[in-house]
Amino acid sequence: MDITALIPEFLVLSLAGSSLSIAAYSSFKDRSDDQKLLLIIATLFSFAFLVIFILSATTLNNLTFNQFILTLLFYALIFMAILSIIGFIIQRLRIDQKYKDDELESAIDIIESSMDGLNSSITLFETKEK
Amino acid sequence: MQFDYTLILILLSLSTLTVIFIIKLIYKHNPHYDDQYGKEIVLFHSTERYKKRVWRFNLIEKLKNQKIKGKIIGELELKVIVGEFSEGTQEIVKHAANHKFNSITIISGPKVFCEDRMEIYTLLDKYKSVEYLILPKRPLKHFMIFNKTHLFIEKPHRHNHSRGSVGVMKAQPKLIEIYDQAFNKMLKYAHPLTKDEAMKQECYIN
Repeated sequence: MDITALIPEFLVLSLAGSSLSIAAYSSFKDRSDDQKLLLIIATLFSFAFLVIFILSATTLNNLTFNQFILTLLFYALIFMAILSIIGFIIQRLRIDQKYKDDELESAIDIIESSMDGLNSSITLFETKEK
Repeated sequence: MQFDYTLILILLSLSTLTVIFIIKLIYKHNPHYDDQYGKEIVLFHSTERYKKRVWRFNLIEKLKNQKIKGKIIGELELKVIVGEFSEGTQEIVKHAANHKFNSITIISGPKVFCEDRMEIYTLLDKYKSVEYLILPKRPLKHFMIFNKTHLFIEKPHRHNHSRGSVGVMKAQPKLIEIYDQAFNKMLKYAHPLTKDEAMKQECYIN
């Protein structure tokens, strides 16, 4: 089978998968683990797109110089765009993780400060009673 | 290049294993876990009134279901210390009373919001499982203990302010013990209030 016939379908499929995963990610508000999984699925789709994109480049032949330059430019731009999306996803994962860590830290701060004053607030009643 | 089915099979197996590994890794890591305090610690910002309420409602329903299934033996109990027995806490108490909590103890400061007095009267009249006690002075630390297992802790705040709070599901026994002891100590300085006395309670005009 000629692989060039499959390339457009693969390109569309991987790009659509990536976009759908990111869209699904945005629609989730609470379930953080599900969000993370969707971001990872989006990364897998993006990498799949890159693989098929590079494969499509290897099947190019019989181009004039100008066509070659323009194709090269096109490939470079798309490559940069997809890499940026992957970068964005990884950055998002890191920010989400940091946000959750900060939330846990603040929650622990509240617990600790609440515990610290527990006894002294009771002593207040003891002294009042005496 | 010829199609090598063994290679394809290996590739497919490897991909499946990788996916299983990724999924396990993601769902295994619990960002709300702290071994010193509890299994699921959730922070609520002061603006998240709805989220706070839903978290406590869900917890009450979960405990009720566990009780029905026989996973919890004995009475379901709720212990509450608040500055004022206000609307938000009343909702939680009503929900608990309607969901098989047979022992609900509320310790509150001496004052309430004037518009809440009638609500407190009705609540005490309707639910016999609710015991309402007041302290001579407004307590500074506010918390709820759900059936000696789960905690809800509020950040200290003034009566007319709301601040962040923390929910701890499956709190560590040591932590529960600290709060339970504090509750029991407070109980010594509190005196029970009847529904009629609740109507005469000192109040803040909102």
